[in-house]
Amino acid sequence: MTRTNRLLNRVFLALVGLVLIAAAAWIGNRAYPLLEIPALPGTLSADLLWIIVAACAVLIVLSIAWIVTRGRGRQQTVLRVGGDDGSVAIDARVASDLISEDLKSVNDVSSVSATAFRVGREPALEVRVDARRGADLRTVITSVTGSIDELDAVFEKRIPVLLHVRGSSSGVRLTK
Amino acid sequence: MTEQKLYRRLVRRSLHRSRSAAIVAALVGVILVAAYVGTEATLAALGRGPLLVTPDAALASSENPTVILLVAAGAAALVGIVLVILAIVPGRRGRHEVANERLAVVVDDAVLAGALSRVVRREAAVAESRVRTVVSARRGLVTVTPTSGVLLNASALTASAKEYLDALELSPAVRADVSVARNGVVGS
Repeated sequence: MTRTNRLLNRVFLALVGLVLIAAAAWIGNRAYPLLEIPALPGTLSADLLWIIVAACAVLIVLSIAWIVTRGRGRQQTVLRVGGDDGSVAIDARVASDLISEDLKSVNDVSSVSATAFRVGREPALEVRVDARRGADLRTVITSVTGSIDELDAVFEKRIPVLLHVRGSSSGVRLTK
Repeated sequence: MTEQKLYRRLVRRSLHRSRSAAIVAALVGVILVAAYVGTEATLAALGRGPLLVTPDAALASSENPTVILLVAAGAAALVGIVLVILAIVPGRRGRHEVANERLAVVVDDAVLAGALSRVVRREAAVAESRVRTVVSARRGLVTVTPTSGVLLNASALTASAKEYLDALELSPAVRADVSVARNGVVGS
């Protein structure tokens, strides 16, 4: 789970696509004229060339900026307990270890991992559970809910949790 | 943000693709094209020779396109159409939401299929390899191969699969449909 702005992802995707279609239509229209389109200048002045260079540079910088900012929002800390005399930050790995330890006895669960992320200002926890093939979904969800309840008791705070139950890779068989 | 609203948002984001991979690929293309155009424009502005083609020559050939340029334009249009489609379609992942009091829960369709297989396998009393389940957005299709000579009641099996799914309160809802293969096999 990340803070990536998905609507803008789609807007830019559509924008790049439309520019490509428009450029192709422009060239196609020259070969098979349907519309009256203005002629392009025969020679580009040096000033215009430098403007093109600047525009390309801006485009490159903005594109790189957009690419490197995808997938932000993950963080280490799942809970910060502050007092007058200092504060304690609890790492997501603590939550991960507590939940895995608790689910060790559940046969239908083969592995557990947890990561923290930020929604607005509040930290939240994403718990990924790999279910064995043919696992009883209700057992899996009930067990995880149980260990999250224990986590709430340990943290003395109810943190938002997203549980993702994943299918294990093939080859992992249901144990009897 | 209330917890309910937050959970709705988390689930929605989990059920759909972010389109990050697509936009990154598109922008890498934009960067390459911009880098090339920028280089040619710089060389032309400095009065040097071009890498491949001067901007003036490129403009002239776009006014009077060759076959190769037309083919390239066709390819560009195709890529453009794909990008626009990617921007518009929902990009659903093969997952479902399960109602829960405490957590926001999403489950891979493969896990749902496994759970359904198990319910039907127990009810029909057949081996694991005899049940095949495919779960799509709104349907769970279960196919059972019976043991020769043993009659299986498809509607009873469907009812138990439905009961299992109803208890999960999936969103979007999945309709169970169990069918029994016409030809059974010998053995357990």
